Amino acid sequence: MNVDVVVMAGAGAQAILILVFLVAALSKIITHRELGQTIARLGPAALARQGTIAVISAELLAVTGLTAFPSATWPRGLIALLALVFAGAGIRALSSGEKIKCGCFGNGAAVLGWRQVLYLPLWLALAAMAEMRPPNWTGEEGLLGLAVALLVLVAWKLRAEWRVWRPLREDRLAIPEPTRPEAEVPAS
Amino acid sequence: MTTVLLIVICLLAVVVFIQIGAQVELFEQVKQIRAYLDLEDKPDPVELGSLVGRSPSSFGLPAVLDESDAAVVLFVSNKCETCRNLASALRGGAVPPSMWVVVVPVSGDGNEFITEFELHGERVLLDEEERIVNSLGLDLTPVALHVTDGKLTRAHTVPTVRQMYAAAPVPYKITLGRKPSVRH
Repeated sequence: MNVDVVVMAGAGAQAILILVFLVAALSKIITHRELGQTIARLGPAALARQGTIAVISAELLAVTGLTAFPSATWPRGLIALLALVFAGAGIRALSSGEKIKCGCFGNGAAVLGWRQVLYLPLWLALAAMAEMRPPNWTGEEGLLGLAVALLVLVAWKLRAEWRVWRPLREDRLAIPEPTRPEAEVPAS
Repeated sequence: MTTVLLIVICLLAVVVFIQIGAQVELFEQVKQIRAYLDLEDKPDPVELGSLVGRSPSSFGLPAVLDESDAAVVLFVSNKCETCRNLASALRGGAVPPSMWVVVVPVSGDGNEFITEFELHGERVLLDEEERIVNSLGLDLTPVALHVTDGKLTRAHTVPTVRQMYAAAPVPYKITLGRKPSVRH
């Protein structure tokens, strides 16, 4: 196989991991209570808060590591660990027979289950691909890429905000404004 | 230096992302509250089909509407709850300028409805035997029928009192002293 393709595949796999776990971590920060409720239903409720902080911190740490230290093994190891935890959560939810909200990407309607189990080999394969041929970008280049990705995510979120805000604003404008005092004339 | 700058940009972007996300969450909650309180008042368009461009008088509406630059005809029945809310706001014949009200007697003769809400005025009509709505093919109320340059142009439902005022061609003033009240 062409060496360039292998190197590109490694970099591509790492980039996918960075993007997915970046979006997941940021979404979880916004809706951290939902994640806390999910953890509380999966295990000891007393550890829900700590579990929430641990998951979000681990995801952010992994993303930072994959970006700024592209050849280091520990961020990919952390990804593999997170993937195992998520798959374990999926199996636990399946065994409990309850519908437990995932909270994987914020407050979506997805529930924990087979999806987390099926994604495990995918995350492991991507981490393995990146481990075999680690990306050769520098830490500074990685940070630049992360900054660009974050700005794109901000723009995407702004678009979402605009779509929610516009109908609310239109609804607000439906209230009649007192612009024409003389308009208040009874018909009779 | 560049590294520090990039780290600062990343941190700021994360903060902005979370702030915007929190705002989206807030807007979603406002939307939910409005839906829960039945404050979502988006009017649905009513298809007029071949009626567009026809003169109002050909359907039994007042001939003066044929000369109107901009007017709206509000159809309310004497049975639907929303119609009663709208009529309550128009109590005493306080009909916005350029608005005509057609009371459709679904049951009885409709006079009781007109008396109850004191809908007395030159721009309030009683659609006896439902002649007007039948000729228009209108089978739902409350509906606002818009007239522009003496021709029928469009129609839509009127889910709330404020949408009724919003439909009025001339902006309508609500003062505290005469604020339309909604009675349930």
